[in-house]
Amino acid sequence: MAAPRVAVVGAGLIGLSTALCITEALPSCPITLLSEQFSPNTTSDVAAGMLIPHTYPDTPIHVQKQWFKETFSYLFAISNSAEVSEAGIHLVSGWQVFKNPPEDQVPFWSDIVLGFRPMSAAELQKFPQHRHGQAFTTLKCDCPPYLLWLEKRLKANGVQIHPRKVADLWELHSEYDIVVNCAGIGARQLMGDQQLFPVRGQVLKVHAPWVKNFIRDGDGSTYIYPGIHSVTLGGTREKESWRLSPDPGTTKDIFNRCCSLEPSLQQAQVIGVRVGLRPSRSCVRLQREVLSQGEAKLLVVHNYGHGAGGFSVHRGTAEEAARLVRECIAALQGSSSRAKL
Amino acid sequence: MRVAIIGAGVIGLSTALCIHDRFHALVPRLQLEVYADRFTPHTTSDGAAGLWQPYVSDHGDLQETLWNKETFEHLLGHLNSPEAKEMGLFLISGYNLFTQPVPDPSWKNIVLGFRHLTPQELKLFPGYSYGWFNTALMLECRSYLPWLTNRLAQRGVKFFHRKVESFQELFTQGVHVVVNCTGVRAGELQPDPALQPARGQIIKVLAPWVKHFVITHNMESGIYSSPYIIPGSELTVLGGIYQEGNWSEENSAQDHSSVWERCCRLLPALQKAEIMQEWSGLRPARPSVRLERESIGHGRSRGEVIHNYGHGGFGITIHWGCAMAAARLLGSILQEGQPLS
Repeated sequence: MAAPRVAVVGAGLIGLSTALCITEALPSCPITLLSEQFSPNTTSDVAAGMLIPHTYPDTPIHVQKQWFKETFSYLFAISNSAEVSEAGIHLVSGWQVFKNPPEDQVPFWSDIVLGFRPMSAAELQKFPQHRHGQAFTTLKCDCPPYLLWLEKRLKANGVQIHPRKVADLWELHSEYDIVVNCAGIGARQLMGDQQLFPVRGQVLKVHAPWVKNFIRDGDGSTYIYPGIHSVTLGGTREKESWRLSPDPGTTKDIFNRCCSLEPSLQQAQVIGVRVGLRPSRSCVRLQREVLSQGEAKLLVVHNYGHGAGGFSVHRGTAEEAARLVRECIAALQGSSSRAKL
Repeated sequence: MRVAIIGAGVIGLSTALCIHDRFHALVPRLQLEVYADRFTPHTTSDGAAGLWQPYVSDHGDLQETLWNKETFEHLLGHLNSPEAKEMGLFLISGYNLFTQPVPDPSWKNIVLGFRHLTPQELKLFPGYSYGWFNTALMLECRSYLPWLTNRLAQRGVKFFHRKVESFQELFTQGVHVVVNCTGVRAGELQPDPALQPARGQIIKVLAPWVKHFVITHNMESGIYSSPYIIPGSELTVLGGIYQEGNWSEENSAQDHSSVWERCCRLLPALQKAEIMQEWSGLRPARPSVRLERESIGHGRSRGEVIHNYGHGGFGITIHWGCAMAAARLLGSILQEGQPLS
């Protein structure tokens, strides 16, 4: 049997990193990446790319922890190398501050990030409205650089990349044996998955190069994440909103909330306002499916629904998706040898 | 009552401001003047990276530790003010690295969040087996000195761009008190064998992905002889030169290579950083800061001198504590009804 033809749908963080894991695990498999959008126009480009996990209600914690650990280790190894500036990966330290005592004093990821500890009273003095806090060092993946770096690695591995809007996975069944669905929020239309819903986030990109530490309000709504060329100020969490255009009132509100955490931001120049629709789901859909019409079959691996936590778990879920692709190949080879009997 | 400050680096300007703050309302005829042959951006202070950090060992000098503490707390108080950006003041976190365990520094409770490095963190720095993490302050003199200058000018302090050849020269002109903030060249006004230049050379690069300071220590070769990396608001400073007795302010190719190679070994990603500037400066090194009164001269050319020089590589770190101490010395001079006219 010839090497199975694999298509990956989606060129955001999940599509690119999944394609990379597959080609690393299965170097002889021809892989094609198909997507309607590419960087800088994906949801991933809007995100700050901070490795601070969000909790999926319906995924076991030990699985989420494993995904985060794999992702953190993978990026940590790159952060020690000469490639780190090209890849857009950098270490950043900072604080998560709470007005009320946090539900989770010791989150599941606290032993994976670096130097996690409660903030001292002296540190909390900088945040007069907050009474509790956690200090740690984590990693940040700046986009577009990180996505462009992934694309470069894919091309070096011979992965074909084609712009294409896929309206229905079945349309790929004659050209490909296995399709890996990393369509993100696009999966709502593509799969009709009603469990997937957008959570709209608006962010500001500002020029404030003196901000070297991150600050995040534990309620998740207000955050300041310093990147390589800009600082991301956020944000909003609007469930079921599909509005992609920025709202000026929201811009002012985000700016004010961030200035109350970090007053020096009053002097920051706003260089952009962007909106992303987090592809939210109670659990990441990471599973196989067989589509068929009559005798024809198409093996699908789904890897979507990462919501607000995509960056934190991307490598871990990509590796799992690559394992599922392996299973698909084994299934194809099994049925092909059965066909020969 | 004419008080002349000689020197317009961080010590001279901050001492002038402190004196004005303290006495202008109490001594109506107080007239402050600043004399210098070099102003920002050509002073020694302008070349310093601006990190608040004392030396790792204080040799039991409690007085200097107190001045450091006063400076940190004074700056921390300005951190959330609207002026912070204009002052060049911001928080920064980072690493101090050693090849063997060392005692905690005198300033561990002054900085924020001081702790030892975890084994995971030490993996980032092969060759170093022990270290500290803390959050401190940056005070960039290319911003701070103009800020001080503006405040002084607004208050009617006069500036004179000229080289003062002797204390007597000013007394003869009617100055009553001279505050000697002449840094490394104090010996030209009054010989002081304890004062030596400690030459440093730095390279400034564009490396905006570096968000932490990294300072290595070699307990045998001494302070600042081991590579250090300090990210500023625009450029990142690479250094690691400390040459006592060397008066040259010319950049040396050998020192350039030494700094470049050692810093790139510490942070391999720096190899991709663009070199923007190079600078050499002379730290005014002395076994301890000279901060004391002295009566000088005779007849018409007699007056009081307050010495405030010899701050080595920690001028920014200690400046405000020393400014206040110098102001207190002026207070005692005023109290005594000195000097004679």
